[in-house]
Amino acid sequence: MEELAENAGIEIGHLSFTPEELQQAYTRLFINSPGGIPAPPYASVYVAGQGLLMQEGYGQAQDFYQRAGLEPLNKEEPADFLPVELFFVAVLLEKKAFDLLSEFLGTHLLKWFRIFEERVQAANPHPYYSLLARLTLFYLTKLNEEVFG
Amino acid sequence: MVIDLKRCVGCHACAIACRAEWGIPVGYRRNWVHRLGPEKTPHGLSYTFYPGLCNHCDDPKCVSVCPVDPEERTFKDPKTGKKKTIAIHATFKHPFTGAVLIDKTRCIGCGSCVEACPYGARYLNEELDDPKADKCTFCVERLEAGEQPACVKTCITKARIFGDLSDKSSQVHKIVASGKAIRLTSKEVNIGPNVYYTGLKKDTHLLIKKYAPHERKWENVMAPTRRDIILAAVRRLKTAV
Amino acid sequence: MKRRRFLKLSASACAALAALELQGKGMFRPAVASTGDAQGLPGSLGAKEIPSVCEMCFWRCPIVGKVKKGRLVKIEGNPKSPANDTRVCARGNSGVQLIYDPDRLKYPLKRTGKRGEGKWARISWDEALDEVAHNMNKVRDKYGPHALAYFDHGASAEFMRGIFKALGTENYTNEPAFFQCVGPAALAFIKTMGYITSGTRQYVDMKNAKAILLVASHIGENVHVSHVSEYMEGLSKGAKLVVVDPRFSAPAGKADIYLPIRPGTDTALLLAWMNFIIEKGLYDKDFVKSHCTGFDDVKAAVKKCTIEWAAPICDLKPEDMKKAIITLAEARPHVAIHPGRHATWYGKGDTSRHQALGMLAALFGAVGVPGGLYFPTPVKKGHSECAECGGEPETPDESIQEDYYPFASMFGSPTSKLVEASLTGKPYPVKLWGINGVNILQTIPDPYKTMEAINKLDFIFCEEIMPTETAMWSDIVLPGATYLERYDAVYSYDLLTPYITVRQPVVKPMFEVKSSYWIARQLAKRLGLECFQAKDIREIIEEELKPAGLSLESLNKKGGLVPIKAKPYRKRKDLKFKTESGKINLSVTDFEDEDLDPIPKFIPTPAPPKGYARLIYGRVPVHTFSRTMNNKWLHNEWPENQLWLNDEVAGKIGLKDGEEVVLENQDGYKSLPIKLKVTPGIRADVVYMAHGYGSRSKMLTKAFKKGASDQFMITEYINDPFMGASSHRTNFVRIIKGNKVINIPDLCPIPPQIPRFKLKNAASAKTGGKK
Repeated sequence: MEELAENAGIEIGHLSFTPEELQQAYTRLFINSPGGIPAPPYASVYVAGQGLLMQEGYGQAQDFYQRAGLEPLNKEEPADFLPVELFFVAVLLEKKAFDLLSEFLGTHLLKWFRIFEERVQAANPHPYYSLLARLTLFYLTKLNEEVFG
Repeated sequence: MVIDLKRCVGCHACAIACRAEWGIPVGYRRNWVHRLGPEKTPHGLSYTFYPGLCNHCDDPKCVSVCPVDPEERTFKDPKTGKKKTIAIHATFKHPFTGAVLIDKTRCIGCGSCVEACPYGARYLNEELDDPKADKCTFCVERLEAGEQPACVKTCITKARIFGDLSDKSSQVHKIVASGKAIRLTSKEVNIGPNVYYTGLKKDTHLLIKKYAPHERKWENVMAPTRRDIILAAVRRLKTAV
Repeated sequence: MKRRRFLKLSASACAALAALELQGKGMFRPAVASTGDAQGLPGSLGAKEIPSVCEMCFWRCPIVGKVKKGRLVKIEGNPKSPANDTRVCARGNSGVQLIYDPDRLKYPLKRTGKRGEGKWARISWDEALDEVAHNMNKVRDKYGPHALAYFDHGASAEFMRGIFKALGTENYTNEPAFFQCVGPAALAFIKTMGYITSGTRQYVDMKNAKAILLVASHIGENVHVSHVSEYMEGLSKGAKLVVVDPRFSAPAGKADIYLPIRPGTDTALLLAWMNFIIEKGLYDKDFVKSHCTGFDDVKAAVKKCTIEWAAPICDLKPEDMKKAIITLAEARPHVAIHPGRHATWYGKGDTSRHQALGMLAALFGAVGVPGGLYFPTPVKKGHSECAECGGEPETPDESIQEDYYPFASMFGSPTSKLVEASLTGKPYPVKLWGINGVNILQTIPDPYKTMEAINKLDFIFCEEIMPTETAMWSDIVLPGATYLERYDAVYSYDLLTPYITVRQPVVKPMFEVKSSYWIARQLAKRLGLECFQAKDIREIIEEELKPAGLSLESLNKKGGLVPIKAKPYRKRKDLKFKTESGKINLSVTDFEDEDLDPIPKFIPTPAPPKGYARLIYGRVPVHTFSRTMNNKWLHNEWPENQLWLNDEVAGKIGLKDGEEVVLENQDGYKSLPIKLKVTPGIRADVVYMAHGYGSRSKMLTKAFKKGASDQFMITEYINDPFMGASSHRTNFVRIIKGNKVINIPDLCPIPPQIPRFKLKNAASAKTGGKK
């Protein structure tokens, strides 16, 4: 994490936390919180403002995976779960499928991730997740610029 | 369509079924249920409902303000197979079925039709990359597949009656011909809405009092400037790339 | 940075970022060829239809889920259902929103902050279930089995109830369905007519009635689909409608005769009506002679209850009261006397009121005939032993079920006594709560007391679907699968259009939610109980379907539902009741044996103290209590509740429609802000709001800023002496605007028979503002 931050030119100071802290923070931000989780980590919630799971955003993610000849292993979380989409970026990079990657980033992931990241920051997040979200946005944006360019 | 307020209990199932069928995000709607009263009327205390939707008017002002250049389109009468070719804007009234529809491939999302409708039946989802106007279509796609409109199918008291007004044997025709049904019109706004309402006198009285539109909204719609049209076109180009 | 190096770094960065979540074991595999379903047709067209049963409320209408590529796109009624065919209500339609709500419970959670704070951490199922079992054993060993209490409601609660029973607690059920709702009505009818004319169902034939009487049943604002559609069919066939309600409700808007009765005086009206029809001979003499007992006692008891006596009590005009009863009498025996459902109004007199309704139906001979009260059609259904846990708990020496209310044990443990026992340890300590399908804060009167009681418990857990207040107060939260994701029991419907059907999963369960059968089975295993032997609940279902000559497969071939011939009516000569006498007991000796009124008497409920109005509440058609408040579609239809206030009263105190006010009740508790709905459609001595809104929790009010909670104003309650159900309409409020307290003017003179409620704290009466 420190290396990533350094490369991004972000000052992080000293990060210390317990697993319990992270467990609680993660649950509050992304799983359950009274009054609603501030940042559901699913494309479907953000695409076309639909606010639900398994809607258009989910369909978009599925289509991209199909085009790469893949499907997600994890059957518990919907296909547009953030870690799955991020991993897909890694897979495309490995396969050097740059055209598909630029489309995936430009028309899908980056668009909804921007709103997601804003929501995370606005939720008074644990510094670990604040940093994680910020770093991810930084690298995805950079990647998009590089690949697109 | 005829909506029988005697039967309507204000359950809102129709509003939700439409949203579910067409995936309309919260914040926008194709149809609605308003609750009226209890309020005194000359015919007694009334507590009733306004299940509303696009009226697919005889003289749809939304069509008249659409700035998109007309194009020729051929339509087929679903009953007789007869064909007709007319020039239409991006929104148009079907020459045979009378439904007022939007061609999403040609709509530029300028919002003029949304402003023009005196019933507020249209909306523009600004959150989309390429906003288009949207509204009730009388579930024309479902009708083609032999299905009922979603709102009609779910109504728990069968208060919504849908059919062919020109068919003399249809229920809607009989009700309208009896003269007992009212339309949401006023002196100022009288554009031939095709959703009729029947019910107890006190209830139709209250409905007209509260919801017959009086503002000739379409007269205030600014014709979109050349700049607006260009901007809309650019917006479409941007997202297509 | 050179492109190549960046790309390499980015790949590892992304993988690293992703790995932080899922141990980077690789998240993809080659795609399996998709089973080209859904040809890209718009809307719900072309979807696969899977039959199931709704559970957005408890009427359980048969539905079909429309599924495209494993996604639920729409819910409609099951066209095979003779009760509702393709029709479902607003809530039924919103099931899609429930299952795909990003805020739904997904994984087991454990509490990390204080009870009520709503701070959780995700844990595994093993950890969660171990924790629950461990604590159940611990509490049982330390305090005895009765220290375990189960709060249950709905289909998800069925199996786990068996566990509590098997562990030996007498407190294995205390359904709010009875103690906060239909209990008094159920009891009254069981004792008079020998069957549960009103309980989960109301066996009243409005469809074929020539006249319908609704005493504060606001059909249309409450929605049970087949019930509403039958009511509407009756009306459209010309049935006359008489509505008795302090508020101009939705059915009042369609009524031929509307009586704006003073709250708490319905029994006086019913007694006066009985007096009238007996005096004038407007009742079915033959029916009474051959099928009723106790008539002479009744005649004597109502002799003094004339319409003229009742009129000032009820605050109604004698001629209107006469017109109403004559309208009903003229329709006999095809007059639908609605037995009522939600009956927990004033505590004392609740059971009697429903007994009076039953008596009226009996006097009209309107039982077992079209248009009257009718009998459930027995539906052949099996019962699987696998679904049972065995165990008949012993009654403790001092029993919560038996010792307080003579008829409570017919229904379970009175909730209010459970809360008290948890607080005080009397008659014995209750130290563990298991909650399944109940929002304990918005359900039980005096939620402040409930919160205190919870803080005294050793352990509290729940099985839930949404992160409700119940979940916020629980130590362990078990995420249940929604009704769309699981099998449940076989469901039979035994009203006018009977059928048999099964709840089946429409889509696979999401995240790690589990069916209630799985949860109960896992918990039972850990507790060392020998129950729920069937590994798959389908075994149980097949056993239950067998006597009906069906299997899951054959049932599904028929569209998931099989209609059954109805047998609701009886010929007079064949009419027999399951009472000791074989007849309808107009006077109930079982009540007399317990020193309770065998024949209803008018028992006044105290009128509002000066400056206050009675707070009453009701349902809205888009919500099921507070259960659905998180549902975006439903919330969007009716985002906040309003306070109905009489227009004359509003005029006198200078308040206008839409103004925001705060309420203060007789105990000094304040509500959240609520907007006024000023209307002539409500009595001057009453204010009304829809139930379920405005949670007290600061955190929940972030999402639902608008609206007040009736429940948090219900801090004063009396229990019905028959079965211990709690009263919900015995609280009074006045208005606070800005910082000024506004007294409600006294516009409804009170007759001498009705005392005023005495404020406990004399000081709060003094903090009055401008009149």
